[in-house]
Amino acid sequence: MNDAAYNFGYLDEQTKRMIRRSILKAVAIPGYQVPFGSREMPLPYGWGTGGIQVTAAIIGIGDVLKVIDQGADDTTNAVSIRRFFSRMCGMATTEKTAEASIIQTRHRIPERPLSEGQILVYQVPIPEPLRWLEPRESETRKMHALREYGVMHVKLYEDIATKGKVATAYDYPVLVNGRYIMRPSPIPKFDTPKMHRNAALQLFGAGREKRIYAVPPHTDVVPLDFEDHPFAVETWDRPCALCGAGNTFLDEIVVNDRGGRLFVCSDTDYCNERQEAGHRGDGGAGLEAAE
Amino acid sequence: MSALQARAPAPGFQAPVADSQIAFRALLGALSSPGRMEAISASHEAPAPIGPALGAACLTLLDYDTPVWLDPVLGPEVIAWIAFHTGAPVAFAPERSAFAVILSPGSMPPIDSFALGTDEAPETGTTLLVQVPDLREGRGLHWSGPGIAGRRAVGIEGMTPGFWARRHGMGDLAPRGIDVFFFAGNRVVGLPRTTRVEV
Amino acid sequence: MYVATKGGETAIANAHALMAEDRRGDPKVQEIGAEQIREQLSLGVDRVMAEGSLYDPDLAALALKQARGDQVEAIFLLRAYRTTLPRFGYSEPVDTAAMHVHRRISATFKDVPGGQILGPTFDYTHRVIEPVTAAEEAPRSPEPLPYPLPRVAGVLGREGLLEDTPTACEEAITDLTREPLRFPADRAARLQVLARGDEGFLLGMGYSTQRGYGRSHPFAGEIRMGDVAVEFVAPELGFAIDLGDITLTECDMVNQFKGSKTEPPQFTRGYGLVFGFGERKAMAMALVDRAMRAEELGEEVTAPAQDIEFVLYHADNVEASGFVQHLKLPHHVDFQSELTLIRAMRTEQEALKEAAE
Repeated sequence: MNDAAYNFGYLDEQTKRMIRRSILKAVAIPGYQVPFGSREMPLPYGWGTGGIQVTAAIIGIGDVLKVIDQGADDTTNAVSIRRFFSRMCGMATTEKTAEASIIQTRHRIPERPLSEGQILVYQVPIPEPLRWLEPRESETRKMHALREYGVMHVKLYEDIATKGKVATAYDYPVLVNGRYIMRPSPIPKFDTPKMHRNAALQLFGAGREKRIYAVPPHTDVVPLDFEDHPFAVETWDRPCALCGAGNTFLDEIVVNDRGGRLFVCSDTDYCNERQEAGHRGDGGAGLEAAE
Repeated sequence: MSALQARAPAPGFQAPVADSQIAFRALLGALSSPGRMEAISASHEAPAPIGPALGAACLTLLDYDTPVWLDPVLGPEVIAWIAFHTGAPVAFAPERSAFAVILSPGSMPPIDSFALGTDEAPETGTTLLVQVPDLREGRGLHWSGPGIAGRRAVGIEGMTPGFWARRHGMGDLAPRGIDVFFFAGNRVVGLPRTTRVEV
Repeated sequence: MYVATKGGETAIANAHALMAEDRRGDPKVQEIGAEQIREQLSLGVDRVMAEGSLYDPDLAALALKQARGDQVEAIFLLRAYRTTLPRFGYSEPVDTAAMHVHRRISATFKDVPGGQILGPTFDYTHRVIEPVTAAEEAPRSPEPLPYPLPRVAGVLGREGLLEDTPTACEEAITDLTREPLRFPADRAARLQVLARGDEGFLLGMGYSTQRGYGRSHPFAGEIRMGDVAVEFVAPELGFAIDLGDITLTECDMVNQFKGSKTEPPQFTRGYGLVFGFGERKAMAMALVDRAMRAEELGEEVTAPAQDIEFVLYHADNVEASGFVQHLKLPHHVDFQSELTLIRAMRTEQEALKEAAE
């Protein structure tokens, strides 16, 4: 049961209808940022109010919600948001990617491939991909309308000319369905290829900036790059110390003040599942070598 | 007001919060995977000829912020039902509507006479809610685009070849365009502007 | 073994318990009541209502208590509560000319019809901390004031020296609590942002116009504070019903204008209106409102306060506070990506150097 003192999902029905209409238009125009009447939520701006409003507008009693922050279900903000929905909706929650019907995320895409029917809701701090190149909304809106993306290519090319590579490690700009340049939210470059033709519906909510956008399932999402400088993801020279996975995004944990470091999966659910299935890493055997 | 009080409109959703959420998820699924059939199980008592799925979509999407264009074939009972449960103002010009409720697709205004949005605000285009005699998966025109892995054959009964030809001709307007939901009974199929339909 | 991100549930519960303890302070000291805050810290309550966009002194006082006196936090609490309230309709525009004034002053004329009425102002107090504050003495009952008081603007307006008051607009006005801000933003939308905007931000922006960043030669034409009636026309009734009185502070700032091709030289206006007694905010708002009219009046746009997008996007303290403070949340995934990138770039640079040697 949800908290009877509040509306189901906190938002009133009028607000949900407004957000739902915005979500439908976002799906119909992949990568385009639909302005919406974002409301003040009981969590601060920057904590995921956009994602929370999107989730509140779509969630029902039959849903199973997973919330992750930095890939983990047990980080404080993920816990706080999950508790908010448990109280306001009373639906089931899970830490298992495979069991979730809705996954709200900040900064990661789960390692396990998503399936048809799942919805991934991203929390977005700054939705406008052209914002660092042009601070004015009235200008960037025109640039999207006219598909005037030259400045973005110039910026990336300047990076290559001066630094030898595109110096963007996360929130790497992508082209959606061949039309709109979009910010994927601050996910690492490592996750960007997972957006491409993903089977799940991907929804993006930016509360403070009052924008909603979407990538429908099976839609092209291509990172901007150059033929002679193709897009490449981060790699690590060792597997996860806990589960031995060699194909995941690893968090670097400083374990002592002598510079000893441990590399473990950022996706805690994926790591746990592998360990439960009997996979083991070296437990930080390389740690001494690092010291 | 007095006409409405004289004869109360038929009931809307039994459980408005839960029913509109259920209906919305079906609409979202339909638009995210164009051509894939979704069922709407939410219950209400819309007067004929409004079917279960179209009625649920009206109750879920319309309110006093959304001017709605109503098919001239709709009688006063239906108009009163929509007005009472949604409060949506009636748009007399198709190009001024946020939604359009269409039950006679054979004689509907040309698709490009509705609001197309602008290049800077393409989301302001009208969403058409079209009730047709039948929907079929696996047979019909081939659809492709975002939301579809490869392509999908979809049959929308009752739409004229003129509708498809005219819609095809709107491709150059992108990102402006019209998004459509087709309803038959308790089923719904979504057709966003980005879907390419082979005609 | 590594456990740093585990234990989120326990950590949050502990933090909440600590906060409750700190809020109460020394249990030997009597607990403060929301009524005391409402009655005795009323200017703090007024600011919370103004920037929280909700006129409810009791709730604002309660929010201030819960927020341990942190104004922006209390404003946030009020805004989040406001979200959940159903909307029945829009009131009629309030008539500040019919205000029952407690204070009304003009800096542009020595005396004005109805007189200069100082009211409950700090202006001529000596800011000396008193061991016993005046409020603890038995309050003197105020003399009844003439009402309604004519507007100072009318004096200049009769000569055509002041631009006309904007007429009531027929078009529906944007409601920024329900719709996103869009550009170009008309004056009604801009004033809404300013009315909800952070007092400190507006004060700084207004101040900057006085120091030459978008100078507009302002004069305080009139500042009035008092009570106005809020009326609502219910469609079923067809006539206005009185919902009650609210206290407002209004500032009509008068500014020099050299004239343009279409307009003769005359005074232009900047406008400020806030809930409660908030004179500093109302005046700053009027300065910034006038500064943002630069383009409309054919003036050169050079200063931050004249830059509409800049001012409107950064005036809201609930948005600003949230986004600044969200830097506290973990960002280790992004930081890891940066770390990997920097390391790769350093390795490449060293390889290039070695190759060159």
